[in-house]
Amino acid sequence: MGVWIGIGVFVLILIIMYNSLISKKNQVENIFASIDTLLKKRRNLIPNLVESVKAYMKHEKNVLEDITSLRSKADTISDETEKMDIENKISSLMGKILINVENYPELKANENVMHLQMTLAEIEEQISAARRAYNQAVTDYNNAIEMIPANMLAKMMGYKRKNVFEITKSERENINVGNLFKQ
Amino acid sequence: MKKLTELIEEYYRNPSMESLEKERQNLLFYLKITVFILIAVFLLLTASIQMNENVFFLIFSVEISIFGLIYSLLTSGYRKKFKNKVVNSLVSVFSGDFEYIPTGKISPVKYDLSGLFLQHYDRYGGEDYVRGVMDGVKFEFSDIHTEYRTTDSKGKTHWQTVFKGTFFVSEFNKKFKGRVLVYPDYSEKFLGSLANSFQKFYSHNLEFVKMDSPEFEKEFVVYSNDQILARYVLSTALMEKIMKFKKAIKKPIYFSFKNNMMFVAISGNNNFEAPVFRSLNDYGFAEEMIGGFYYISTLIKTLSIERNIWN
Repeated sequence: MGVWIGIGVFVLILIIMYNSLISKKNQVENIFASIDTLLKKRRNLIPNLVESVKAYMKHEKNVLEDITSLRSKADTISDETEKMDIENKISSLMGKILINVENYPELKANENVMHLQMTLAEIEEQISAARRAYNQAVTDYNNAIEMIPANMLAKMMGYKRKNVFEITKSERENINVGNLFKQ
Repeated sequence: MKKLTELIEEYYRNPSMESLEKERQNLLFYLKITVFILIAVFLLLTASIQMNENVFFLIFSVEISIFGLIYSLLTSGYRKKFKNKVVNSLVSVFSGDFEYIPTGKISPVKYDLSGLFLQHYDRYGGEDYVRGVMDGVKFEFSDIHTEYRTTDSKGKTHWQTVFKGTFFVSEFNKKFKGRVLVYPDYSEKFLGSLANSFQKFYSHNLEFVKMDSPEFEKEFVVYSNDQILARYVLSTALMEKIMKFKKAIKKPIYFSFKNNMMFVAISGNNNFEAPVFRSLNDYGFAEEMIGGFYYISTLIKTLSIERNIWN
C-alpha cells in the first residue's frame, strides 16, 4: 500500500514539474511571438516614413535606401539571431531619420510625419515592454531547467538555456514623445 | 504653481491664523476642564459604589464616549473654519486650476472601478475633495473611508476598515486595454524571493508580474492580465518615479491602471485636519499637512503623466 502511495506521489510530482516546464516554455514563445508582431508592425511603417521624408531629406538618401533594403531583407530571413541583428540596425537607422526630421522645419510641421513619429515612439515603447517581459520569461525558464530536480526532466525533454535580450541604455530610458516636438 | 516652501509661507501669512489659534487654545482649555470633571466623577463613583470589574469597565467606557462626543461637538466648528478659511485659500493659491470642496468625495463608482480593494463595503465616507488640472491632465482626490459590517456572537455590530486614506484619480497618458494593479509588498522584505511563490497564489484572478527593477520589486507586488502590458504601463522610468513618490510620502501606496486612468490609494493619509493638541503655528504640523497635499497634487508632474500632445 505504502509503495503505491509513494509511486502515486512521485508520478504527481513528475506531472506538476512537466506541466510547469511546458508552461514556462510556452510563455517564452508567446512573448517572442508578440515581439515579432510588434517588429512587423514597425517595419510596415517604413515605406510610409520613407515616402513622407524623401522629398526633403536629400542628404540622407543613403539612410533611406538602407532602411528600405533592410526592411525587405527582414521579411525573408528566418534565422532568429540574424533577424534580431537586422531589427537592431533598423532601430538605429530609424533613430537617425527621426533625429534628422528636426533639421527640416517643413517636415516638423508636416502632420503626417508628426503622426508617424508618434506611432513609432508608441511602438518602440511596446517593443521595449515586450523585451522586458521576454527577459523575465526566459529567466524563469532558465531557472526552472537548471534547478534540481526539474533539470533532469528538462534534460530528457531536450530543453536548453535561452538567451535574454540585451537592453541598451537608450531603450531603458522612457521614450518621451513630448521631447521629440520640442523647439 | 507655487513651491512647497512658498505654500508654507503662504500658510503662515493667512489672516485667519491668529483668531483660529486663539479658538484652539480656548477649545483646549474647555477640553482640559472636561477631562478634569470626568476624572472627578470617576473617582467619586468608584468611592461611593461597590466596584467590580464590570462596573469599572462600564463607567470607564461611558466616560470615554462622553469625552468623544464633547470633543467632536467642541471641535467641529473650529475644524470647519480651518478648512474653509485656511485650506481653501491654500489650495487656490497653489494653483488657479484647483478647486477644494471640504465635504466632497471621490465617487464610489471610481473607487470600485479601480479594482484595488475587492472586499465588499457597507459604508462609504469621504471628505476634503480636491480637483484640478496639472500639465493638461485632469485629476481629483479626496480622503476616503470604506468599512464593512460584522456581527459578533453576542449580536453586536462592529465596523471593520477596508481602506482609509487618500484616493487619487487621474487620466493616464497611455492607451491600453486591460489592467495593472500595484500593491505594497510586505512579504518580500522578510521572505526575499520566496515571497514570489506566495504572491502567485494571491493574484486577484490576474497574473503575477515580476518586475525587472529590484528596488521596485522589493517595495511593490504587481498583477496584470498581460505580462507585456504591465511593462508597457510600468516603464523603467515610471517605476523610478513611483519610488521617488513613495519616499516622499512615506506611506503604503496602491496603484491601479485601467480604462486609460490611474488610481492611487495612499493608506493612512488624512488631508487637511486642523490640530487640536498642537499649535497651528507648529512648523512640523504645517510642513506635514502642506507637504502631504503638495506631493499628492503634484503627482502628475512627479510621474510625468503629461497629456499626450497630439490628443
